[in-house]
Amino acid sequence: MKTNEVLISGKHLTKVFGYGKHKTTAVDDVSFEFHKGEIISIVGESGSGKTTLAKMIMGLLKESSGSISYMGKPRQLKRHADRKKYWKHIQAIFQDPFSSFNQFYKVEKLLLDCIRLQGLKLSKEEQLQKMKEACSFVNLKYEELHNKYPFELSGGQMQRLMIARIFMLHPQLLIADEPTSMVDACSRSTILDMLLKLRDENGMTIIFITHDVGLAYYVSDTLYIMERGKVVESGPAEDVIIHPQHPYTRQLISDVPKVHEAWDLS
Amino acid sequence: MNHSVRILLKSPKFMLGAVLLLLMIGVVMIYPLINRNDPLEMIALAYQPPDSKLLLGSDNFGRDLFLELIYGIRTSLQVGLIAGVFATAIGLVIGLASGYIGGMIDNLLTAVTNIFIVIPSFVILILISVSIDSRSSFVTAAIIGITSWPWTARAVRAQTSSLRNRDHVNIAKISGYSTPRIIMYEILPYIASYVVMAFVLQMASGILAEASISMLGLGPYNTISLGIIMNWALVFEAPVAGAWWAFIPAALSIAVITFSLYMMNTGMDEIFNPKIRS
Amino acid sequence: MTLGKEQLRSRVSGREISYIPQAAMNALNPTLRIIRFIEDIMKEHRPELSRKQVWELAVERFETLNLSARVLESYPNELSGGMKQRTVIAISTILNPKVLIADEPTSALDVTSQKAVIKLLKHLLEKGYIQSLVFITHELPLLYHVTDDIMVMYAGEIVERGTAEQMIFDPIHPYTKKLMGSIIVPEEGMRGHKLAAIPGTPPNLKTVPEGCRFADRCTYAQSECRQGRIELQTFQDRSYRCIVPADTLREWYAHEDE
Repeated sequence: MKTNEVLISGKHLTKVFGYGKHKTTAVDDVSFEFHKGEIISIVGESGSGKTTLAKMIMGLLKESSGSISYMGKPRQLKRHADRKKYWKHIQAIFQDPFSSFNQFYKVEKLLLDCIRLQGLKLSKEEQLQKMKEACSFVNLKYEELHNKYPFELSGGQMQRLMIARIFMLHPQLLIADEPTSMVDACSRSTILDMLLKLRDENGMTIIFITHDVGLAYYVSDTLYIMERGKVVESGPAEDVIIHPQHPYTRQLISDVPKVHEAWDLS
Repeated sequence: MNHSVRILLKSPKFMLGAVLLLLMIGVVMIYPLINRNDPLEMIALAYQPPDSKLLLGSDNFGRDLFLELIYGIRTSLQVGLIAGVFATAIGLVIGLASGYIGGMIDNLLTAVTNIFIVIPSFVILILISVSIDSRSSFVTAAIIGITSWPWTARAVRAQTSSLRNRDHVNIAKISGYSTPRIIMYEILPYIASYVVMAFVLQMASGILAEASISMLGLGPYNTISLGIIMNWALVFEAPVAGAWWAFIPAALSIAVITFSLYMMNTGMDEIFNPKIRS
Repeated sequence: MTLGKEQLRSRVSGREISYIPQAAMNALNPTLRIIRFIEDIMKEHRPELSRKQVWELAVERFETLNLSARVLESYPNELSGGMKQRTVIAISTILNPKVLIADEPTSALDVTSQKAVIKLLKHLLEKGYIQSLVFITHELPLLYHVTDDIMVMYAGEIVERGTAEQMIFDPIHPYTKKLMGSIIVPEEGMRGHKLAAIPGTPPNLKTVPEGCRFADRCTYAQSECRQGRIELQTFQDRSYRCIVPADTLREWYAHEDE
């Protein structure tokens, strides 16, 4: 559950791509504070800069200006060793499960790599035990999977394996970039439930990147609404969705079809 | 990986090329063990037509043309192989660096690659060949390789720069893997088939290039290659003497080798290129 | 009705039935202006029209659908994804087909463009340019606002059919029940509401299990569910594929919701 301890914060983050005439500002002066155990959704349409912001938090893109602090200290990413240390705390799940897997390696290798990444020295049985545990957490059977290649699995299964990976690595911060937009409605609820369980059991902070306001409302404590690189509204999920202040937020909510309210199609 | 090899074996085009090539390699490896004569030894009169003793007749020095042809094919294959290795290795390194690192380095390396594409490589080849005094077949092959890498580099760069943004590469990055490891395990497997195809193509064009410069008399010294056999035929006016056996078999051999390599290439293309496959 | 392939192409496709594939916005050849696609269709189906007449007809149609006539002169890559999708729909309905089959026409779009596409489809129905619409999707709230009837399919079979209202608020088949329970909308009361999840994966259609295809994942499955073929039952004005009577199922659901 959400605590008051700040895990990661950003001040005046800006990312500019290109130079001269072709300059585009993807993220424009964004500040945030994410707490330990909090679930945050960054909501925006394509081109709103939400993925760019996520990549900056992940440390895959360098910020043009502004700064990010992690656990109270300014984040250092200059040397590979620094990055490696930072990345021990942070993991990600991406939108497209098909491109998240290296199709040349069996499922087993993905899980074995997690054990190696943690620097654990385990016997064969202990390794097997750990992998089975991770698979059963996401309702998959290790026995049926370990010998398969990713392309032999369904999208939902692949995405659940990605969660099994997170389960094994238990990072402090998880960035989930549209993790359910390519799976069907039922797998979606399973995946969301698993992510919520991970938060409850490990006190993980989760950042959802999504265009789906409904999903963001359902899973998160805090919402950040982004439009053209800027955060236009942020706050507790309940406040933002039930009493939206900014016209863009209102429009976003009204564009989503609902079941109990009429949908204004005029 | 085994899977792709298995589908390859089912491709008639690839198999035709591979069988032709292997047959040729087999013959040129085994025949010199049976006929232990020196190919440069003069054993007959000039331009004797083929008969039961001299399978392909003799050249103007009275040397056994069939034996010469066997050694010639051997050298040509060697030259093609070495040129292919050089071109593929250079193209791969430059393409990977340019595609994976991106930014300024990409701009720079792409510019260099484009310059090499624009300058006719054959001219460079001739200029270098003329300026070097001692040309072994290895040096010639190396020169051919060094002038023909840009196409491989280009293809590798394009592939790499699109793979770089795939999510499994991002996951490998935030798992803290080093760049060489990511290139080795996350990028290379995806482009391996393209690289093998490019290698086969480079080998074929290397053989053609060697034949061309050898025919101009700029090829390697102290050896026999298919191009050199044709150069001799040309210099000593075999066509005028009506001695078709002095150059047709050599020309045909070049055609068969490159044909088999191109067949292998198209066979692989059909299998590895998902657009054509589906 | 049996028709040859050629007859099917010239008489039925486009005129009677039209189809919008999932990634329709990628279906436009990027080297041609939009008007050229319409000219192509007309050349095949109404060759008597001159280019000018085609142009006038296209402008008129586009304007009634709130699409600017400027779009007709654009190249596909000058249009945004949502705009391209609407353009494809406008083109594929230009012959006023009786039936339009739309396969996930909005799933690749963001919510604002999604709404615009839905508006366009409604418009087509209201103006009578199309008479019926088959909308294939996994986005249930969307379906609720677009269609009159909903038909749910599972593992290659129809498992339930009813009006949109009935299906969303009063599902009968256990699969439909779960499906409707997984709807997420930004409405009050959504938070804290437990989403329905279905354990397991759909059966491999190469080896379809005997009996009910959903039995392995169904909370209410009994041994009788795994025998023979389960036929579609009719119940009042709707139908469902389950051996348990509708009222019993409803009782179970009411019990579960408590």
